[in-house]
Amino acid sequence: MNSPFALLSLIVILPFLGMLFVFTAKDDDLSKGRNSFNVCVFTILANITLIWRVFMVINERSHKLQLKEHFDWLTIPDINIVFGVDTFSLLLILTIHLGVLIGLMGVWRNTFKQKSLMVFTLLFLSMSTGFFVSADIFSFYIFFEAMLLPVFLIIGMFGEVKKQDLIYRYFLYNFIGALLLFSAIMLIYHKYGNTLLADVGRLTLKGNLRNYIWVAIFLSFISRIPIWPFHYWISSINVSIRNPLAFIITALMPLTAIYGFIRFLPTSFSSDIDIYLIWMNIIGVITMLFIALIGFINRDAQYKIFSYLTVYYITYLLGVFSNQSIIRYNIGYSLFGFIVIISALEVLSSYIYHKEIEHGSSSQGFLCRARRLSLSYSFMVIAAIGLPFSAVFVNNYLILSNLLGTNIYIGMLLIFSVFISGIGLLQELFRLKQDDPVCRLSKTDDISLPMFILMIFVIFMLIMSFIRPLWFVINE
Amino acid sequence: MVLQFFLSLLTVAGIFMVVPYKRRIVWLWLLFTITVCLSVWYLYDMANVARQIIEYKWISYPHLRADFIIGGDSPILSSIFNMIPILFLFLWMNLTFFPKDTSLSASNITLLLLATFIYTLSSQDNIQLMVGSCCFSILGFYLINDSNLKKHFILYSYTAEISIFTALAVIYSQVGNINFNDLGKYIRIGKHHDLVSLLLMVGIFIKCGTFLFQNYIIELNKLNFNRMLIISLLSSPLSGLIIFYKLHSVISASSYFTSTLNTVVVLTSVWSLLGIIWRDSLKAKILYLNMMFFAISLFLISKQAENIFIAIKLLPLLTIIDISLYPVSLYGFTDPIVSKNSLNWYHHKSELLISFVAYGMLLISSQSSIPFYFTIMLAIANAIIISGLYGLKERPYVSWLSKFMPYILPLALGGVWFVLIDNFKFEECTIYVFIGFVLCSLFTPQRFINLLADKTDIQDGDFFSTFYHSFIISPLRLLGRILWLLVDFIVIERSLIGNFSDTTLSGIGYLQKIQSKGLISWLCFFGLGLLILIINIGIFVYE
Repeated sequence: MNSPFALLSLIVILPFLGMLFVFTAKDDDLSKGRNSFNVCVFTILANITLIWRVFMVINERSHKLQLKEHFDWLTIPDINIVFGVDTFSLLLILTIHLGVLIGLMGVWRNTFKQKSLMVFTLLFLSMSTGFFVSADIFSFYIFFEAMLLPVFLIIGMFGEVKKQDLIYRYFLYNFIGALLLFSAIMLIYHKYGNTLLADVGRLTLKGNLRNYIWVAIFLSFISRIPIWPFHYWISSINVSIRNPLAFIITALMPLTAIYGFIRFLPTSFSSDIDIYLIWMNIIGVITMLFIALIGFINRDAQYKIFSYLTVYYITYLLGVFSNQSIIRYNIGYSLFGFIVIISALEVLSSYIYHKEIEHGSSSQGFLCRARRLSLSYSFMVIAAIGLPFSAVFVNNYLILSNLLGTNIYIGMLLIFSVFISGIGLLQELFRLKQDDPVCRLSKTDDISLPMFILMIFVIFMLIMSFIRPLWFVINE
Repeated sequence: MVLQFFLSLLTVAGIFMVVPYKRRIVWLWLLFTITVCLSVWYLYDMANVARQIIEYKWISYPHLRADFIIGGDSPILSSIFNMIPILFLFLWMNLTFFPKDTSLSASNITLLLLATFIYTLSSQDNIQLMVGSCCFSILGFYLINDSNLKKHFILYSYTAEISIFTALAVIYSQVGNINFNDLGKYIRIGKHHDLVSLLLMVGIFIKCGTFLFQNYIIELNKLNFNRMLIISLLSSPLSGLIIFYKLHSVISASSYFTSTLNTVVVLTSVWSLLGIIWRDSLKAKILYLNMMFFAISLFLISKQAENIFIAIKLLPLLTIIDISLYPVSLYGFTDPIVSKNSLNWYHHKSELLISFVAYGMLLISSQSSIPFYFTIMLAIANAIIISGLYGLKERPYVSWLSKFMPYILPLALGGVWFVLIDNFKFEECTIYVFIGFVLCSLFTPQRFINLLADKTDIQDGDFFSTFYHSFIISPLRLLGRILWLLVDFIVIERSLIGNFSDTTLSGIGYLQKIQSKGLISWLCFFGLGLLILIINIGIFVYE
């Protein structure tokens, strides 16, 4: 079905237009970035409304890309840009918008270069939305590369990352990955012309060409996921970032890799790559295990959240590699709950951290005094560890069943890692709930009413997603 | 009717969660709740329903369909209504004796626990069973108002949930269906029976608080009596029994099932009897008694899954025994130390009589179901608690509230007896056991038991926590530290990345030399050309 009113282009362009408005928003010592913040929030809310509208237009049961838009770009070489969307990609677009919106709540009172932060955030949203609506290999690559720039700038300016070489490495690894993807895409274009993403999985490549293309694609995506040996620099960056919005945006990068794997994965694997899949599973599980164990012993809440993030991303990655299309939608539904939970947890953790700095005391026992924060934080942790309060519960059950069916030992180690990372989060929760008379934080340091209302809304969304994943879709 | 009852429980709990607590509303609420329960109970009896199931289509993924189901066959419906006396007892106790304990909250949780019981017992698929099981844990967690106890409770509960979740995930991966009707298919053609059975048993043992996993239940003696009792009778342990009932066929498919379960049941019974003897806290003794009951229930269900309905029938009697063993009107919020506080049985003869009658009814109800050795153990356990409680010390008569005890509890006993006890059978050995129980209760020499009361190592010692910390938590921490140092720091940072950086720097330095002036640049350039030539020759020869 072709898109009336170019809806997909609209949801890509809108954040970009919002960015231009932010540029022109008045920002002086009096407003202290409030105007640019408001424009950013308004833009995201408008885009979410449009995404909601798109949900009602598409057929959510169809696996094919819908609302296709064709743009003629170059004649020589013959390259056209194609946009298209299905339920899975649209859900991920909605997820990143919600994640960023929650992250914005965490920087509401931040006044350091607020305008720049809003500009880069909206640019990231625009590029990542374009990434998820891309239906051909060129537009996919363009947006895959383009989103690196705002991420790099956000980390560099707002991430509070002390070591510069970490940022350089971050950019370098992603850039090398992008170059590898570019070379693979060029080879595919040379052989088959501008290929749609839906057809990539059905390409019949042979010999060294096949090996190079798939290895290049594999490495380009895997470099964004914190799997060994790429986990070290990702973990170093993530645990250093104290700005919640910057953390959330950085945490969305592995999501793009998982999406890339889903789109590029061949429809059927030949038997000679089975051995590599087994190694992939082993490396994934070992990474999960030791990241989970390190998160368990580490006292830093940020590392615990990162270890939880890593464990689940690798779970989804291994689910993707099981190559069953029915699992894909479960991954999408689960990712929705997962990203929203991570965003909310990070905002609340960051809030607690900044209160600690402000008062110069430990936050142990803080939740005994701050009721709103206690309710929000407790719910998010309980939902995060997989108890039935969000879509994560049922969908993870299906994904983990699938992995257990593939290999029982890998599945058991995987579940053990999930368990340990959950224990890490619970440790942090109970550290905050264990009353300490020395703690100088009081009930006046509780989260504000607007933030609490947002958290209640997030809780409502998570519970509704448990009852019915696409509860917000009202079919015409 | 079951659905209406279920919804009415949720509605009452919801309404009174938002209504501010005022004393005049409290009695109205109690009256209202009891009226609702009795009305539905009466209607059910009148309708003589044999089977009632209400289904609502919930999850409909292409490869997974889960329905929201309430109701079942006649035994399930009877069990649901058997829980009404417990609901009544807890509401009465909360509101009468713990008015300052935000008793509305405890009462709300009780209503929600009963609703969760209905939901879980009605389940016919994995998803509903797991959701119900988690709801039991979460409601019990919410009832605990001590952060340390909360921590232990959620850790144990989470471990149990993950264990059950994993087992059910393995089953689903084998049969591709979550419905309990396909469990037979899994037993016939599925793999990993022993693993699944072990995982389910571990989860059930943790939930029921059996030997090795009892700490988080026994620690609840630090809570108020009403909260302690609600959690130990209506929360996790009850959910463990339901899970055992629903998945009995799968658990018993393993060849290790019988030996493992019998061992755990025996150890739990013996450990709980020892706990009743050596612990000086009355609340701890009552928790050990409940632990023994749940171990016996597990044994019953292991023989036949439908025996759960016998255990549920006995649950109201156990509740009455627990309440009668702990003179609520006297002790209220405190945790009486048995060796230092003993009641004058003459002034508390009503409570003593109720304890005897309640135990007698339990004995009669269970005489044909529970093996004789368990009956003896229960008798000894009850007798030790009663004898420790009612000594010959003179104590002043206290508290006008104890006036209510002689009226309410006998009424409750009568109601339970009339409704639940069918087919009145009376075996000869039952009389002897009961006489032995009464004699033990009145004449057990407490002075030997009281010697243990002074040993703080026994009273306060936490052997199992020490064991878990030494053999599970500490090795995990050590492993995490080793992995962080070895893999993260040494292998990645120092070796791979270090070597890569050094190699790149060397390469850049070499290229800079080529760009420099002098003979060295020519030599480097020539060397580079020679290297490329050698590589090409090598490739040519290889191909």
